[in-house]
Amino acid sequence: MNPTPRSRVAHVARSLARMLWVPLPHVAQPKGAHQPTGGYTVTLRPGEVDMGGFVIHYKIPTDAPNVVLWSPKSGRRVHVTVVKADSGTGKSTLLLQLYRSIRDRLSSPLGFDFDPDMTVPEDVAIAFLPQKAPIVGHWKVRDLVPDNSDFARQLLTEYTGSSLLSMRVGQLSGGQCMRIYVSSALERLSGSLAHAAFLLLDETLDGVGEEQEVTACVAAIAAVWERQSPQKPLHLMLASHKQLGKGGLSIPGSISLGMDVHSRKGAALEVHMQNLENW
Amino acid sequence: MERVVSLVRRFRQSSPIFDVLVWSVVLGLGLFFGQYVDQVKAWFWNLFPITIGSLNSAWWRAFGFTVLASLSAWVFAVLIGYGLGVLAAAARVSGGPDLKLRRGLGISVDVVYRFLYIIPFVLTANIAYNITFTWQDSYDLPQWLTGVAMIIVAGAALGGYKVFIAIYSAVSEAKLDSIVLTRSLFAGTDRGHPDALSFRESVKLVLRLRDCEIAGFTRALEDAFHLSLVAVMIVESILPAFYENFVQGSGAYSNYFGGVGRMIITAQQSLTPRHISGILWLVLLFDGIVVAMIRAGCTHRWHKHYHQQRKEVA
Repeated sequence: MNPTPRSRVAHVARSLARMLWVPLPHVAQPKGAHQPTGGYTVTLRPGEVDMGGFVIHYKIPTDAPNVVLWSPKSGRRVHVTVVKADSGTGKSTLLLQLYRSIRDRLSSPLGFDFDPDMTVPEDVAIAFLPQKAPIVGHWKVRDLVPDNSDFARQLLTEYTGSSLLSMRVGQLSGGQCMRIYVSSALERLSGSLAHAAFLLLDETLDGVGEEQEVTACVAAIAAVWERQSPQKPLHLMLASHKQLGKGGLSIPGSISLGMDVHSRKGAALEVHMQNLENW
Repeated sequence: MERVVSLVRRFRQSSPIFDVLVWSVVLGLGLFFGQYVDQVKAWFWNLFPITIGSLNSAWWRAFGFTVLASLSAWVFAVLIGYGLGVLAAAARVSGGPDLKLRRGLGISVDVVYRFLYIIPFVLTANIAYNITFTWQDSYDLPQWLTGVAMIIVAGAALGGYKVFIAIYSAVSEAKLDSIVLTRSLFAGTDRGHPDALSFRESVKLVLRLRDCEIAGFTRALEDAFHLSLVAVMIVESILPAFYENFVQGSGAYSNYFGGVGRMIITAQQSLTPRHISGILWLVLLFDGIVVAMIRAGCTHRWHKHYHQQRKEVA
């Protein structure tokens, strides 16, 4: 059906208004068919990511068709996945693909399936703290977290609330800075209108310490989240290569995803992924 | 050639007295020939900073005009460059297929402004003067408006672009890590409308991305002043008695109403290199002082909060 001149004019007017940030009346979107309150089961199918001359093939060596990234457990609101891998195994690329897939709803060369309808869900909030996140020294802590931030209080126990808020990021150590970034992202996710939240941390908590300290940190995040946002599930993914000791980073109730380089041929890397036993 | 150089290097290392001998010979020859080249020596004295002392009151008055005009031009450069930069970058941060028009708006502002920047400033100034003078004549506008317009043009065309591109490129050439971090912490965590950021959110995102490249922004503020000073002197040199647009003289034409730029042109014609050298040293001194003040302000506001080891350079 050809558009009428009137609808064409309306379309042009709408486009111009959007270009100039003119707020338009909100058109209510139909709610997604499924908005699981307990969280999403997310799986990953094998695929390959071409980064312009360098290709990473993500494969699953077992007979399983996919690996599990998150699997909600009843009674919990915070679902944790730990990606355990050495340096150079494509962890950051995997996290970036996941971030883009959820945030921009772009099709990814890796197949991310979100149970129950296997499509990327609507109205979820996501934050990603990359491995090389810049430390912007002149940012005020007060601008990153609200005055009464429980997340900041729990993650930076070495400071009292008021003394921390009056500081600049440059006055913190690298690890403390990352924890402030985590607190800030959690505050935003917690305060968003979305029905579910995703937080991807690429070696962000490596500066916190050894396995016990990281586990305590995650437990603190979970406790505050469940108190602050009891209706909203948080899907937390930690990528790390420091806690690879015997048994690795074993956060109770978490899923572990192992990644190993199987072969490296020229500009191609073959990475094998599998869920490790402790979940 | 390399063998000779390495031979000399080895010889200098083994016999340090060699350097003393060479410099003594140079000094001796200089003293010997010096008595025959007094005129040349006298001419070279014209190039030293002490020539500032030879400047008369007309030069100092012209310098005063240039100082005020260049500082005003820098203020306009910062205001216009910053405003347009934030606007264009805010349009550029919008993603999504249905916001191509908005992204196009940001890219267009960059293209047009870059075009103005690469046109020789003499042409820009001439065209701008013709337009403003025509308007002044046609609509009977006050004369000072033409002067202000030319100072705005002097600031915006060169220095303003430096400020503009510092902000715009902080967005258009932002590192992936910076984009992801700022979006995660300051805007767009909600999946609902990640592309259609509100104007306020877009501006916030632009300013945070600028924060990630704050060293580049500081350098742009400094460069903007250098260029504003240069642009003002070009305007002065092509428009005779430029400051008579602001200050009506007693009727008698005075050279200093043309500013430093015009005075240098006149001095070139009358072959007075001593004055030209003196005023150039003075302008350099003024430029250095203002840039040091801008740098101090930026350090106080931004750079002092960074750890020393993060500022190490090769």
